[in-house]
Amino acid sequence: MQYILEILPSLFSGVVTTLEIFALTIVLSIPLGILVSLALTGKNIIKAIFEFYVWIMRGTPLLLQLIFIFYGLPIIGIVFPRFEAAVIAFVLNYAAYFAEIFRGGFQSIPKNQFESAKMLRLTRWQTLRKIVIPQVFKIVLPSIGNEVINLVKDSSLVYVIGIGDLLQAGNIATARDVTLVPLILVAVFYLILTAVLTLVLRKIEQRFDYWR
Amino acid sequence: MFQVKSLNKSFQGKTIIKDMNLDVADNEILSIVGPSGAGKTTLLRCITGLEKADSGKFFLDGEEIDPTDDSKSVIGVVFQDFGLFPNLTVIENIILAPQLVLKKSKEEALKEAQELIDKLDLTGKETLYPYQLSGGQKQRVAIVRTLAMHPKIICYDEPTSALDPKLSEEVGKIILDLKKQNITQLVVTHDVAFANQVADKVKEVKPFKEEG
Ligand SMILES: Nc1ncnc2c1ncn2[C@@H]1O[C@H](COP(=O)(O)OP(=O)(O)OP(=O)(O)O)[C@@H](O)[C@H]1O
Ligand SMILES: [Mg+2]
Repeated sequence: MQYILEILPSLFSGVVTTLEIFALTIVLSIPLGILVSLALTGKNIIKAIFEFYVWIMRGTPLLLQLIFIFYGLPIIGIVFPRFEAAVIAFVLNYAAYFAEIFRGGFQSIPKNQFESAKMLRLTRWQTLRKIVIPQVFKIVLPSIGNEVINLVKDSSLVYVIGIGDLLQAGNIATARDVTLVPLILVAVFYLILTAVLTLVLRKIEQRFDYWR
Repeated sequence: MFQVKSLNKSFQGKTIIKDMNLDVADNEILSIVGPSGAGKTTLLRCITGLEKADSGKFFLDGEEIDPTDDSKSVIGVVFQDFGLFPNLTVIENIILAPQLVLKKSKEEALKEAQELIDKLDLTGKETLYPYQLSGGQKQRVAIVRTLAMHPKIICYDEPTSALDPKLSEEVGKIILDLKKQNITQLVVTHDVAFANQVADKVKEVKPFKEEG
């Protein structure tokens, strides 16, 4: 018990870093994902460019992308600090996944919704804001939820570029003190985080249950 | 007076509408009948601007209009599947476009909507969502929503296909009633009894056959 209390502060500061990366990624990658999904439903060259982007992001490991941005890019003179590199990698990666989810959501909106809106002379933006996005949001919520849970766990990958997240804090303590306790605590922390998020997501889904 | 002059429309080289002419006087109800596949829906979609005609002209009171220019469209439509917005309540469905497009104040839009709601016997349904309505109620909400935009011309595609005979008659009465308000109406229908009930004029369309 004494030992647990001793290592908790370092684990907590790890949790803070993990949550920072998590929150920044969510806040940035969801809007970006929506924009990319709109580009994906667009035409010709724009569409091709963003399809390529999604293909790269989904077709290569996130770990590779992380290493590429932090260790690779400096070779050609592009240097990001650790934390920024991590956030950039996560946002780019997750935006691609979110874009695919949103694209599917947009495509499942019946054509008559767009035609009704057009006949009521709503602008494209008004149609998106008032009709399409709320409907898409409801459709994609469960898939977004899955990705959000994944992100909590994926965030541990920042370990590889030397960021002091939860996993790193636990690993250091384990190596130093030769005990399993820190790693078990790390697992408990992750379980708490994902459980809380699952609960929050379920509440959000319920909140959008008022129409069908 | 609404006129269509030498309208042509083909899909992938297949002629659907060939040299079609229509004349509908103010307050008049024209019903458009014909076998399945004759191009009735296509005709309505050209008139409402949802489909671009290959050639042909549209005139309202002698002035040429472009249905695909929705900035000043005067044509409303009630779709076969109603096209209500499932994420909005009845009242929100109705006042959305008057507020956003006609720039009415909320009070004004609500007041007008309420009058129409009462007239079409939807009182008490204002805060329900479309999934909570019967087919006939959805139909009437769709009519109210269209009316709230003050169209000069209203097109209906198979307005009775989802209704039982009694409700069909109700909708027929509503359509007849709208005659008094200087609205020209075009009604596509399979339902001969319904056509007889409402129509001043009947236009028959036949599937176009290529010659030779
Ligand atoms: N977007 C489209 N692309 C290609 N062909 C189309 C398209 N829309 C309609 N058609 C064709 O045009 C013809 C007329 O279709 P339309 O829907 O106008 O018929 P309709 O008279 O409304 O039939 P129904 O009574 O069954 O509703 C059909 O042969 C149909 O296959
Ligand atoms: Mg049809």
